[in-house]
Amino acid sequence: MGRILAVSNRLPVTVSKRKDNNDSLELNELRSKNYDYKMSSGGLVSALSALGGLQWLGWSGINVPDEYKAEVTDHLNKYFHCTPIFLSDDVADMYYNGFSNSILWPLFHYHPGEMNFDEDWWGAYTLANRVFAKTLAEEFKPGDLVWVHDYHLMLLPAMIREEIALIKPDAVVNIAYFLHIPFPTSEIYRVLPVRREILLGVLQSDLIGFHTYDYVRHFLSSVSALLQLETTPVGVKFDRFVSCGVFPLGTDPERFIDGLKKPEVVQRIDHLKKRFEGVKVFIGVDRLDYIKGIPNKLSGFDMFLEKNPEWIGKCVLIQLAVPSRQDVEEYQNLRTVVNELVGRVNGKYGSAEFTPVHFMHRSVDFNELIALYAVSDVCVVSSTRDGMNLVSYEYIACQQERHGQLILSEFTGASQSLNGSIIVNPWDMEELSNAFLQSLTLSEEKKLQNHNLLFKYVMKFTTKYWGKNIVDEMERIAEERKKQKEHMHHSVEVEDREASETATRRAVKETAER
Amino acid sequence: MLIIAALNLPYTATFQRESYSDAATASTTSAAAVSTDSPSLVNSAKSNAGDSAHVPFDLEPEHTENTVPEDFTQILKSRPVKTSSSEAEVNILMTQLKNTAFQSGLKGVSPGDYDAIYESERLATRENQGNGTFSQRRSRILRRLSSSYHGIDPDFSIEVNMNSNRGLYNALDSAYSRKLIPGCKYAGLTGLNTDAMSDTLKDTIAEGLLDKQCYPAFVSDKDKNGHYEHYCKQFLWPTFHCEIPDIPSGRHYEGYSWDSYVAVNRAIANKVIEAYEEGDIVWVHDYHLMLVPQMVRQKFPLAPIGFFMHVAFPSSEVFRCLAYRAELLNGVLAANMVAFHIPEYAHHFKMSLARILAVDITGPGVVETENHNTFILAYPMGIDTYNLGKIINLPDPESPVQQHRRVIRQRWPTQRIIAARDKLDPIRGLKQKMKAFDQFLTQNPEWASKVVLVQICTGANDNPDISLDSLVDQINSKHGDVASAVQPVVLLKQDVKFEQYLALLSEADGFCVSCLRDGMNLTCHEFVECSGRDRMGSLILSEFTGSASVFHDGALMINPWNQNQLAQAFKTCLEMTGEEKERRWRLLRAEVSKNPSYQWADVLTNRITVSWQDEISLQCLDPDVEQLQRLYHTPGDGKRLFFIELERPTSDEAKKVAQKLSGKYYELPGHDTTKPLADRTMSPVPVPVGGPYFSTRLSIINELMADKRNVVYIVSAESKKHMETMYRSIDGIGLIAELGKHVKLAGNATSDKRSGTWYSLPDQRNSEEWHEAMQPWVNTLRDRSMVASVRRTESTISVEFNISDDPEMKNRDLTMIGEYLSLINDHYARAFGVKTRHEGDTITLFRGDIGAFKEHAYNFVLQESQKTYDLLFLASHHLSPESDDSLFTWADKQSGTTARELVKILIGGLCAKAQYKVEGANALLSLIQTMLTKEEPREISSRSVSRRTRSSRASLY
Repeated sequence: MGRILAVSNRLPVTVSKRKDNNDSLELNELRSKNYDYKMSSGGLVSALSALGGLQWLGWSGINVPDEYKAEVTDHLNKYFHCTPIFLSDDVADMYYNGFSNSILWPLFHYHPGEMNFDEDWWGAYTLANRVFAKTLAEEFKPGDLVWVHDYHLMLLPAMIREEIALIKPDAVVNIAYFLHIPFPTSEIYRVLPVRREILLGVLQSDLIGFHTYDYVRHFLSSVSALLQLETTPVGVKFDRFVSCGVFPLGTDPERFIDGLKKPEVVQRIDHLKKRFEGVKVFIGVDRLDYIKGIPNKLSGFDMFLEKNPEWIGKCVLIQLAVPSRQDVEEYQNLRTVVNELVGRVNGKYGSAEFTPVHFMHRSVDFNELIALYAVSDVCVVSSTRDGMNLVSYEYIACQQERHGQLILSEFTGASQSLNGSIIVNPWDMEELSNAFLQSLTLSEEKKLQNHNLLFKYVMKFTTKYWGKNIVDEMERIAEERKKQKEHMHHSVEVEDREASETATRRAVKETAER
Repeated sequence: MLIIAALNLPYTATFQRESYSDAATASTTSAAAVSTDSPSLVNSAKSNAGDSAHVPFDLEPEHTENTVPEDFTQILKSRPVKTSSSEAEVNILMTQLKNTAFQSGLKGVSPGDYDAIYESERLATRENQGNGTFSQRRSRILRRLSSSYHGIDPDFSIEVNMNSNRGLYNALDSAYSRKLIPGCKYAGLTGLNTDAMSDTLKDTIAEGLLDKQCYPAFVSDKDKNGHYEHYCKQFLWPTFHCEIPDIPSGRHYEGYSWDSYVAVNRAIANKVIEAYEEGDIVWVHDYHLMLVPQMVRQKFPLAPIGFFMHVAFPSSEVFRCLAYRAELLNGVLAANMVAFHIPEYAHHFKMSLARILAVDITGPGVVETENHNTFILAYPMGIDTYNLGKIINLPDPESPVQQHRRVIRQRWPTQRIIAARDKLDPIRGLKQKMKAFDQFLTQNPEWASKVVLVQICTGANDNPDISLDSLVDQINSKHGDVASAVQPVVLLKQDVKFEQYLALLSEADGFCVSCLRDGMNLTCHEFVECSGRDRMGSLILSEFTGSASVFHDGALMINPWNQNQLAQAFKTCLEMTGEEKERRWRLLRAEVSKNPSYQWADVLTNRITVSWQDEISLQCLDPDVEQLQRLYHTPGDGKRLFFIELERPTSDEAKKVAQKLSGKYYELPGHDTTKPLADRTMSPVPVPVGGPYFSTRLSIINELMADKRNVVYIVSAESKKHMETMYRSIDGIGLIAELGKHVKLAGNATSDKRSGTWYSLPDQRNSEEWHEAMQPWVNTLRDRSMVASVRRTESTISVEFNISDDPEMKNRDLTMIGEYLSLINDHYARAFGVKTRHEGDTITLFRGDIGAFKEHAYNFVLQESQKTYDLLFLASHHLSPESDDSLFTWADKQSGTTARELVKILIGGLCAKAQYKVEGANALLSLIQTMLTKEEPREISSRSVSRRTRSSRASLY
């Protein structure tokens, strides 16, 4: 097996132009002649690195003038095993903010109303995917496994095949694709004007991975309804058999468990414990996004306090809302709504010495985050749609001491795995309010039982496990395909293949005609 | 009669007095959205109701209380009259009323008036066309007498309620006039705000409406508005059209108005209950009244109830966002029949049932809940082509439609017209339409002064949004032509006269529907009907409407979110060749005339009756113990053949036993130690092998075997090996394992060498393959959920879950199981022909072809024995409606040939072909035990063996 070529929208390295160009500075891993580099922390990188030769391809994140492109490329390659992809500001904006985040994101999270289809955005998305494909084709060596990530690059699998065929016509290309967000029911998906193009793009993969069975099911029914291709429970009969599988992502629990042992974190935890002595702490950690159901959470908390006034003053909700996509109108509206709700709850139940909701609209560093996780009695995840939700995993990893409870929306991918959590429908205020109460009144014994179930799961199904699972599956498919090729004389298979190729050609042709 | 429950009644009171007209207007605007389809189809078919729509009421409400009713009601009280009262009895009553009226000193009325009234009522009674109960007739008499008594100017009149679902009522009237359906009674709201009305006035209105067979429900204004304005409009309407309400204002989201939703449903259900008489059919309409079926069912467990959803039904992914999702589904599910416009909605509904309520979807259209089957089907509503045709095809040039057509032509003499009519609502896709039209004109400037888009918007008063106006202004200023003074878009934010609208449709070259979602959209059907042979206009139709699945190729299908496509469609529509136009129009026309609205009413009314009859026949299956005993003890010397299917006790039964045994643990029978540990049966609920529980079973079988006339076969889904172990103590018993794959012939091995050995019946398919295909699914379940045990045989896999005892958590767990069920049904049912059975906490998967196995095995046994039997006793576990059906049909064929008498028992589930049903294996064995005793049977378990017979059950009405 060759290397793994991981392709995602952004590189795991943040590149920035240095303002004061001080030539006397020593050049090292974090510094090239004109640019600074910072590795993003995150489980995905470390997990994938563990799998063996990993080369990462992704957008540089900033516009790099032509004269500096070589410098950045070389540096990233040398120190980070990264290949940057350069996009002009215009294209990047329309591809990323436009098509990806203002069309696919809302649609895949069941907000078709927010979708405003724009031909230029679609053009930019196509173009950006093409640029990715061209760069990748050059980077590709036979034997490499290509692994495409997420909704920004749904056309990429097909384009990769085209581009590689141009310059390395005989190479066998194995492509895995993983979608990190939900795939919506076909009823919603078919709203998308380019619904067929997107499916045909992804279907050129050998393996398509999702977080849950529901997403697979929705994907397959979209394929069969919109492209009239034959599907089985485990894949699509395309010109090759495209396997579709469930690979629920996990987190990297060690990082959190180790983090909690750091002296500065221990100290911070002590401090927080004193601060919240005698008070039960609910924690919510979300990007400030409309899919996260933060208004639902606040209203549920409101109802909980209204129905259980004995808890007023005895519990707080710490809501961390990490700023996100602040230049988009929907997100600005959301911020207003959340601010109002926080004000309302605090006004209703607060007093001079007590504030029921602590709302932080900013990011906090890792140490502060895990300290907060550790001192909280309950973590509340109330997303209205969420591909997976790793906050719930991270919280569990930090709760070995306290055995805190997890209130988890049934609309998260995680809810289908995290047995032992209190599952709620975030649209049902009554249920949410009851869950708040239940989480506080569980017996220690039951709490421990729940925690053990959850902790065991989180420790077993880690990011590493996930990555290995997909790569193993990919290798199995590659192996099978090789065997198949050797047995190609088998007439039935040939017929089968021909039939599915005809179906594929028809699907592609019909799409082009529309 | 047919009792129609819909939000708004077909008739309502219209006030002439200032004070009430305010209230009436307020309600007009609020209720305008009720009729979702063809709101303007003015009651063209009302003539067949026989009465004029305008019945003046000569009654001042205040007087009612004091004088007239006093006298009359006393008489009525003194003479209780039943529905069965003879004509003579009614005559006596009438005469008495008349005399009382005279004695009270009536003025201004001649005795002749009374005689006329008296005569007409008498006739009505005799010819039995008075419609309805005596209580209705009574109040009618009362009112008519009292109204002639006062002779005061009319205060309000009872008129057609324009805010009701006219499409529905027209369809019913039309079907009634063709004698396809029985007469209708109606339950619903008046649409008026009634808080300000006196009770007397309400009573008077109610009486007036009763004359039209309307049973008005009065609710507080708060509930009326909370129900419609808030719960229906803010939650159900958007959700049902795939728009999840985002951050709704108001207290605690849905909870705020849910109570009002319940209150209105309750009030209307009460009116249905009041109107209901034996023999009536209840038909509930639309998403406003989803709880009514259940509320009526609680009062009348055996009433025929149907439900029709006039709007779309969303994907279960969307529906499950509603906080009261389970309540809504349960409410509807109490009906015998639930119908939707198109199969897609029915499918979504079934998926929601499976996911949220974990109910079994057994057949293509049947949903099984505990002892109740609901038939789910799709039948699209159409329009009344006949009556519509009568209006538009009047040859008279002075007919209103013809006049309007001339006016329209004068205004746009050379332009092509594209018409559209929508309610001003975001889901109608008006902005998308305008933007696309703009794009079309930009790309095809040659069309700029040659085409006009006439867009009628209804419900504009409700919707202050003016962004559409500015969009239209923009288009008009951009593409307008000063010279010809023709504007490309004409936006009418008001409804036009019906005739005018029809004229527009007749003159239009195209019609554009760009709804983002719409349950049906009958306006485009009207267009097709109006656009006659001379014009053959083309239809641009959103694929997100129910109509799209009716029209297929005939229309130019568009995705309204796809602006390019819609713009292109405008061009195609205008530049289409004559032949193409004709081809498409003929296709459209054929669909419209294929399904007139009266047919819809007829078919669905029938379906309610049919599904109700099925249900009743299924409900009458309680075993008749005396009959069984008589059959069994009929003297004779022929053999009796028993096929008894005994599954492992359902977990509920097992749990009960386990509780009794207070914690003694037993190993499961048939424990296969050769398999790897993970695959072994590990049940947290111990089923005792040697305990009293199992030995009771064995002793009953032994008792049965004691009679040498009896040949007994035990049938099970368990493996050969397991069955051997279980029944090794019973000598000479026949065994059928894996539901018919393996047969061990009954009889004494020493006397008959074929007895006592296993025969495997041929099987076309490889079980290994099947298991392999299912393995990933089983693995995932084991990894990720509360699976207690997995058991396998060659053709079944049973997965038992740990379900919490806590009622709240239990619901959760059941939902989870529901998700799995829908997953299997969705994924594997088609590809691998897997059948599922869900009992308590266990899902069992069967190979799809398993239903036929039992039949093969029984045939094999009969062939081997070469005998005829005095009695064939067949007790079969429910598998799926088709396979149950087929098995009992097989049994029927044996009757008279190989078997003289036949007993057919179904265990669990419902099947019309079965003679009796029992709840489970234990109930079956108790029944057998009772059958064996010759003396008066004792009650073994009141729950398991019910002795109610058909006749006693039927008397429940």
